[in-house]
Amino acid sequence: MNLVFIAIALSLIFGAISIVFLNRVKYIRWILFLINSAFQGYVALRIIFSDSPLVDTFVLPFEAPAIGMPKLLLQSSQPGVFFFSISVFITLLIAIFALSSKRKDHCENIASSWMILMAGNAGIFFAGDWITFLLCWEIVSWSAYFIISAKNEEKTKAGINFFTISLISTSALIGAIFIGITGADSFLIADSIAYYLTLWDKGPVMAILTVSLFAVSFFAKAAVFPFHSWFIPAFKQSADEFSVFLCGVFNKYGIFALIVFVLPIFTKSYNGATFAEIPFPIFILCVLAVIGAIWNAISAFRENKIDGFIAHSSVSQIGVILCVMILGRNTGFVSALVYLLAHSIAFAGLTLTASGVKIATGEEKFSKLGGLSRRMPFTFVLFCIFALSIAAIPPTSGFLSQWLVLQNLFRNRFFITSLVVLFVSTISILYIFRAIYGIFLGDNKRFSSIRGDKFLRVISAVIPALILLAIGIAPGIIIRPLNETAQSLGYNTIISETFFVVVSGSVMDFGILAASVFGLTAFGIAFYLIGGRVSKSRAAVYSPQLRIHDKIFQPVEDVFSKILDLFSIDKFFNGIGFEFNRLSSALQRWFNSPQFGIIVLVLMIAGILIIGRVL
Amino acid sequence: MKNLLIDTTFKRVLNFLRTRSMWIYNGVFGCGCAEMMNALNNVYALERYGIKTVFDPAKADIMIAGGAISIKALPLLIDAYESMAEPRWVISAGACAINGGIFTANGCIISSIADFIPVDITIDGCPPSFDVIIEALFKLSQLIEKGEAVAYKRYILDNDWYKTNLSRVLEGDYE
Amino acid sequence: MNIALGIIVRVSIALVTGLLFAGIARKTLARLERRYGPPFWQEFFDIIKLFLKRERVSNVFGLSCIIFAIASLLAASMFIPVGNGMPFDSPACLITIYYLIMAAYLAILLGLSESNGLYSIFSNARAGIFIIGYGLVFITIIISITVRYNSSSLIAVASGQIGGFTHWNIVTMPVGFIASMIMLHGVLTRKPFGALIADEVSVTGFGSKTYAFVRFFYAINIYIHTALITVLFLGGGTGFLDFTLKQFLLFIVVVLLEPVFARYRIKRALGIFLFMAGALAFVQLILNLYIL
Repeated sequence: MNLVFIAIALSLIFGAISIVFLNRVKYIRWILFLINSAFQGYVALRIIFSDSPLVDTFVLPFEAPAIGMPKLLLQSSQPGVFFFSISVFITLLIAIFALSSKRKDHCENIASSWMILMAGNAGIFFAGDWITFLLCWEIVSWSAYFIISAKNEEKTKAGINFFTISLISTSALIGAIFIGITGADSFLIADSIAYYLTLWDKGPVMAILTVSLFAVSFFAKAAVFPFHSWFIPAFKQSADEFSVFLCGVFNKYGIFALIVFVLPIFTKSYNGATFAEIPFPIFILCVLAVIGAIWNAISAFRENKIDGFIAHSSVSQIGVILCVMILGRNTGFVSALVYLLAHSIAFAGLTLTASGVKIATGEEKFSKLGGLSRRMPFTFVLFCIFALSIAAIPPTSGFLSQWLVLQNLFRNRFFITSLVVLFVSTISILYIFRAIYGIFLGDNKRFSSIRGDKFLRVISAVIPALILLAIGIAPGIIIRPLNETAQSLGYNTIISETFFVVVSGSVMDFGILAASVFGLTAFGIAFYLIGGRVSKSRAAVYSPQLRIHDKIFQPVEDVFSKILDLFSIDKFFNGIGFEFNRLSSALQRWFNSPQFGIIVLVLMIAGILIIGRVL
Repeated sequence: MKNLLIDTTFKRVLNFLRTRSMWIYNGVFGCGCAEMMNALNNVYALERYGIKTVFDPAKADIMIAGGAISIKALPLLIDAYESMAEPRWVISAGACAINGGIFTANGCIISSIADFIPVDITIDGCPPSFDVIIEALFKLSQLIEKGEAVAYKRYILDNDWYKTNLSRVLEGDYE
Repeated sequence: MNIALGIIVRVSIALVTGLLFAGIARKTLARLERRYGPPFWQEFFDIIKLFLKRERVSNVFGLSCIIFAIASLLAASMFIPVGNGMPFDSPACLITIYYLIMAAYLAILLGLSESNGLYSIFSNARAGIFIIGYGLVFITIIISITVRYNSSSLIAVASGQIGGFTHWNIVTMPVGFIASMIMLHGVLTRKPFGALIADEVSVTGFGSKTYAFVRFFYAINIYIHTALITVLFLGGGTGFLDFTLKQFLLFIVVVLLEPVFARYRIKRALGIFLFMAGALAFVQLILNLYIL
């Protein structure tokens, strides 16, 4: 029996048990969740360290017309293993985090739906045929919908928003899958991709239709412009633990699907229009991703709450990842994978520590927080490490990602795009400063009695922090395995030893960079202590500081808000919905009027006569 | 006792460097400081000797405490003095800071700040004029170079006496 | 061993040159305003005096942020080729230098926010806004240079300017040079852009040694930005003295312009940064991309 199948089955069984039997002892649900995540972690490790790829076929015990007995196929591929390991690792961290608090409104309900989601999660990454893939895609969407709308607050708009865009995504996906199934005459994904490759010879319309349907579906799932509007409310209104999952893992389903289904269509057999040697349809996708990156960076900058800026920042960086994956052409793929890994871990860690702050203090707005650096020192240091990684500060892994992105863009001479990427990165410094300042710095009398650093929460955040620093200092650890993943899909590799990386002739030794920064810091500390003239401090006196968070960056906001208010995606969709409402209420009024029956009768008679005349 | 407090030769070398950059915190408590701003502005250009005014006692070396200091203001004076980092020096300016001045009979005005913080140089005047203030600064720098401006060490050695004085004042038991 | 020696030499040069330039700025400004100023070696005495004081440590995080900021700036200065010499053999990638400078500014902002000043938020907000403006102009200049030399390495830039005055970028990219001079004005905390983070109000509550480190930060800030623009636009210099002379020329131009201006309000200053310096830099980028 395949380990993946056992993992999926176990998740489903645990989910069912916890829904049906564990209504009274809800706390056990999180323990089951931890066991489930640990088992999936074990599965991931076994698959990573096994030499032979796992392939498992099921034959369903019934017959369907024109197909025979359908076969479900689970097989491991390099990108699937990569994404699966990230998702399982982050879920394990969340499981450890979730055990740390015993609040009554801890949303134990979400644990059961989440276990079912993990079943779908494994299925998506290991699916070999369309039935499995679609089934697991839907399982993930539906359980996510239940989790997002599970919190007992007044808003379920986030759930409805997510549901609508999920429907759009699934419909588009089914359309594209049908093209593949009917063309290849089989349910296997590999056959469909081979069929898509032949579409270019028959004329571009079918191929572009397939690509557009796939793009709509996966952009909606990955929360890329213009379908990103579900992600922010979902992040803000779901439970804290699920927010971690949203920005750490949920974004990546769409990107995985893009890598496996869309990009291979354009590799060899494309003979249409290109823009700077990049196939034109993919270039348009890249433009959308970049627009999303800028848009969300500026929106993150205007946020005043903890979860707002994390959500916008996450979506913005997904845009940059897509941009480098497409525009980097050959070596860009490995860079995108490195960036993806660093992004997942950094945002998961950031949301974990931010959730710790939210649970300990009960506040979300920056203007009400402050002064937590002395009460929660571990959380503070870990938050800083993750925040600095997002702001791409050397020597963390965020800087490695940005360096790779920029070198790839320079190599392929996409200079305006590199300007945009640098702009997004510069803006991130401001909102990261605002976050750290708003939450931790200063002094606040309200929190003088908080003991917010629980052991489990700190442990769940220390592990990703260490990984981020390790990747930033010694990038070879992660680049060499990812080189194999890229090679299996046909892309080039990046030369890298343990400490230095070479991209198209540009060498960067991250070890020396980290050593110089840390060494000089140590030198500074030694310089400070060398005179020895330091005495004990007085008792800490409460010193008030004026805190005007909402307005500190007002001049920059004024500059950018003129641009942002010109056009808004939400207004566009709201406009469409409004017009639709008007049309339907007009139809309703017409339908309810007394003259309606007579008009319908007359039209029917006229219609029958005309049809009879024509025939 | 006095000989034990005077700085050693090595410290006098460091003191030489300290006198080349003296930063002043104005402890303005009353009209005794009327001419302090005159002394420290650009007409006399004390900046060429490295003397500068700062507004945070934590960075200052010298505090010029002048004016009639009331009981209410006394904790502020002591707080400012304790915020200063060692080595620190005090110039008490004006008659009121030395012995109460024209407010000797007033029950709310402290008669001598030397009971609460150690003072290196006292300047007389009501208010002391700017040339006297400047001369006091140079005299202080000479004392520092010689290593004799060590009143700040007394604050730590005789801390009980200073604290007793303070608590007596705050309880109302002071003349 | 050579690497350690090289690092120590470079750090010392950065500190000494920076402090000297800061002192010269004070003296020059004073003389231009018709007063005597402190002697140009006054900064050294100030720093030594601050280090000889006994400090009370009350905010460790503020201090560690400031030390990290100084370390980042010094690390960035290691990657600048001063007259063909660098402490260790590495391509002087402009991206690395940019991100290290940004790291330093973020760290100093965080460190100064830990001070106990009541109104320090205003000063820090002003600083944060300037960092954005400076960043946007600088990235445009970086990309213009990368377009021209097809590489983001400062060594390529320096060797591309060998051969006399007419090869320097100040002649071949004059628009970019004007943009970078405006940027230099802002980042060196000179008028009309006012203090980057230099206000006394934002360092209230720090002890003496911490304040000495903040002064170090300013000195190294002066050093690294004049060094960068010297390498990017003035040909880099054939030796240490040549390089320092060019840095000094840039710096003295900025200082001499200071008494002419008043200190602009933050909105207007940001507007000039973004829409004058930024526009000029963008024009240079377009020129490099499509015309040259």
